Amino acid sequence: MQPSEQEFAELFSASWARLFRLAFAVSGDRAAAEDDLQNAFAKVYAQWGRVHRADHPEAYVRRMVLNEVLGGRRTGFLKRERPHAQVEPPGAVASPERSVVDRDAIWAAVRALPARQRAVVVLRYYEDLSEAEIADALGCSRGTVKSQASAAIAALRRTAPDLVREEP
Amino acid sequence: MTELDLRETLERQLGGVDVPPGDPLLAIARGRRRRVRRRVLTGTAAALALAGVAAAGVTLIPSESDDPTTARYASLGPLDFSQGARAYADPGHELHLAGRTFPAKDLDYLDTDATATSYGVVFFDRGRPMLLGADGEVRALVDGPVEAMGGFHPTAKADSVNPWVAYATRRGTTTTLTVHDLATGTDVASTTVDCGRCEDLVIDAFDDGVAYVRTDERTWAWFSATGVWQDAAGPKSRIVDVRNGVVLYDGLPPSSTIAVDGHPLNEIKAPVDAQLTFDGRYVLDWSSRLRSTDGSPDLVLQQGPEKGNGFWAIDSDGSVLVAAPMGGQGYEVYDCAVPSGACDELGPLDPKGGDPEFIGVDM
Repeated sequence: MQPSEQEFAELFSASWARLFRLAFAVSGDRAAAEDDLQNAFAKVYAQWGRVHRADHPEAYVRRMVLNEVLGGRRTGFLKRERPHAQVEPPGAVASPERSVVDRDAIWAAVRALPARQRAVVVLRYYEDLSEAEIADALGCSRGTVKSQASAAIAALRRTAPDLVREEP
Repeated sequence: MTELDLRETLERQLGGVDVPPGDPLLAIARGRRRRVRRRVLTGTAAALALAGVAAAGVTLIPSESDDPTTARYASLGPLDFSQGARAYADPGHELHLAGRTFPAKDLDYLDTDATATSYGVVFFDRGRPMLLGADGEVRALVDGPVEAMGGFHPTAKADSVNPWVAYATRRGTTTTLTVHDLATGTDVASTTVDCGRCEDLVIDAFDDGVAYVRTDERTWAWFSATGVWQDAAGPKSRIVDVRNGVVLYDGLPPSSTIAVDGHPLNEIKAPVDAQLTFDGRYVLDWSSRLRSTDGSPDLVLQQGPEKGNGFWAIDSDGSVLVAAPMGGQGYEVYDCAVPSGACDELGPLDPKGGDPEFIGVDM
């Protein structure tokens, strides 16, 4: 294995699991997420010099993964099964613990969001990125991030009316 | 429910996801295929320019292209392209061109996005097509101002029938597609392309005077002799290569039958990084076994693996360049004739800077 391949393999191993969860969260489809992630890493390898020189290689790779996932949404999104808020999520049973049910409902609502809104939510609340970082990751303006986030929160609030928007 | 609950929900749901094992070797194999197709900028100045583009999106690179100076290009002395460009490189270390060897830094303007022809290597300098000719000198193919715009990389393609090359340039908001005769140094035909910012504009193939031009919507065939545009393929099709009446495509078949001189092209499905031999009879697809397009036996080159980690490209004279692995001791590079399959040994290549690259013969 050449030095660049060794470094690539190390990055791959270190970031695969987290990026798979991100890809899955945004795509909503395990198989599509795996395919998109493999494709994204192929592009990472093909552009290894550029990735390696980036100030934040992990952020660069994350952006490539999101490009791949969201690029595939144009066709993939229509194919995938989209959970509906009124459909009982798999494994959800009547529970005396309201918060558990709420979380399942919220998760279903997150998955029902449009892809870009879902990406903003996942990057904000799972990856814990700032607005500027989200804008960079998605290749859009901070204003677009704000508007997508507002729309997403408004949609989620229909499921959980007491969801409060915190300013980043 | 607060945003803290939303965070916890995501952590709980995503933290419980069963993560499949990734395959880094598969990514490397696919990445290698992509690598030969993408623009590889080895020069510091070019890399800095690209970083600027990446940071600024589609910001225009400050262009000095009003003055197409060639002062930065040192004369290389005569180059013999009669056996093909035979251009291959250990990226960042050394570059072989027309039987000579140069330090890579001396030719950092040549990359896999360049186009090898029988008259030299065409490359782009800040949006301006340039030719490194057989006299070892670099000259601009287009005079006057042109713009180098981030995301605008339509590349150039060489004709196998005529001494012509097709390229696109950007000036103001106008994108011009030109067919240039390298033998006479004159333009054969040109037209403007209505493609907006044209960031998705790519010349996918060029043969017998017909350029196959892809935008973000479709692929069009432009018949430079008549100026006629013909719809060639939809967005789910990709014209991979065209030679001698044969079209390679990836994805869905071309949406309409393309005919040159009244003869419909023979449509052959192939991976996006495959190439046709100049006679259109064989498909080069990462193997020294070239698949026949007409039902005749495959062409098996005398050198190089039929499977495995070799590298291949069609050279400017129609022969096949092969970098055959030498059991962990680098590669041996061969130039193999079509259709005989006989190979000449060009020399060893033990890359220190990554995989071998074929300069100007982008697959």
